[in-house]
Amino acid sequence: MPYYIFTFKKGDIELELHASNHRFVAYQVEKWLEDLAGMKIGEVSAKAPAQIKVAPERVVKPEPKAEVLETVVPEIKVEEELVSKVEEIVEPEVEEEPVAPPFVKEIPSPIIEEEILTYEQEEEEESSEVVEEVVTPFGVSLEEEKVIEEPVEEFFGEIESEIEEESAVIEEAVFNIAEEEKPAPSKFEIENEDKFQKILKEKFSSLNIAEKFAKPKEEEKTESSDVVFKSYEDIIKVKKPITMLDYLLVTSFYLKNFEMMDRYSLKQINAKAVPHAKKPIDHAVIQDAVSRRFIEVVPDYTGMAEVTEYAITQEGERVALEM
Amino acid sequence: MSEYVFKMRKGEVEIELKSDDARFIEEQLDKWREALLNQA
Repeated sequence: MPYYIFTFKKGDIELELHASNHRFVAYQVEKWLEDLAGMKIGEVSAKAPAQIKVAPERVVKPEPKAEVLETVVPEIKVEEELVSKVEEIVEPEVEEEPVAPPFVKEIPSPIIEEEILTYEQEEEEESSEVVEEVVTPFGVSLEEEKVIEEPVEEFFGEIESEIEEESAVIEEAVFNIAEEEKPAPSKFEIENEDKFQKILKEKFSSLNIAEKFAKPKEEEKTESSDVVFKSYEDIIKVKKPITMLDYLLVTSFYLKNFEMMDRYSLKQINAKAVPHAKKPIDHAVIQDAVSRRFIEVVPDYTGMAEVTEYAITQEGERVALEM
Repeated sequence: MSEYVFKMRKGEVEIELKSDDARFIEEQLDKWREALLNQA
């Protein structure tokens, strides 16, 4: 910020004025110069009259201090005028920028009133007309809305009637289904049953027992009933056992029905079977026959038996006869 | 705000006046100017 110092000396008296207000300092300088030079500012700047304006004459009165207060006010007013003029001299007038009008445009009131009146008039006119012309929220008049609604109602009515008919049909179908017996098996089910039976037959045949079951019982019975077994060899010739299980069943059948033995050991069975089977019957065959319930293990209640004894079951006898 | 300082020195005497009132300072200057300039 610039700072100005105005110093005046006369003899041993020195005056200083310190200020940052350049206008004030300039004004003081001018006054001192006027008084010192004894001439007006206008005369000094005669060469450039356009730049500097003539200050009005100032009457310098040596006023006593007591009168200062009384005359201060008018002097101040005069000085205010001078200051304003000095400001004009010192600085060019700074024109204030025009204040921009507010952005909001004010509509003149008469125009607004006219608009309101016209709107109100329109409302009155509309209200005086038929009520049905009131516009629905969708921008459609009531008459138009009715016109639209009629076909819509018909459309939905048709749909409802169709639904009712279909529901009636469904109910009848359900009722009929409830009354009917179980439906016949499908072809898929029939085919599966046939396949299942075939598989079972194949499994049984692989066990050799199925083949024997498949033989008509009457024929087997006739075969066995016609032949009179005199010895173990006769039975072997007739039955023709193949597996060790067959030999076990045939031998057990013989020991029970011809030797009258209710129980017998494996050793006793092999004594009969080995000459014909060429190999002994082992415990695995016994276990297999036991698991199939053709042979049963005779429990030792006395605890005196030295070896395990076995007996043929009814199922085993049947199988032996049907061989 | 501008500050104005008015000093007056005579010999060993010095008077200093500080103010932000431009009119007041001006008045003081006027008085002393008249006195000094009118003094022969």
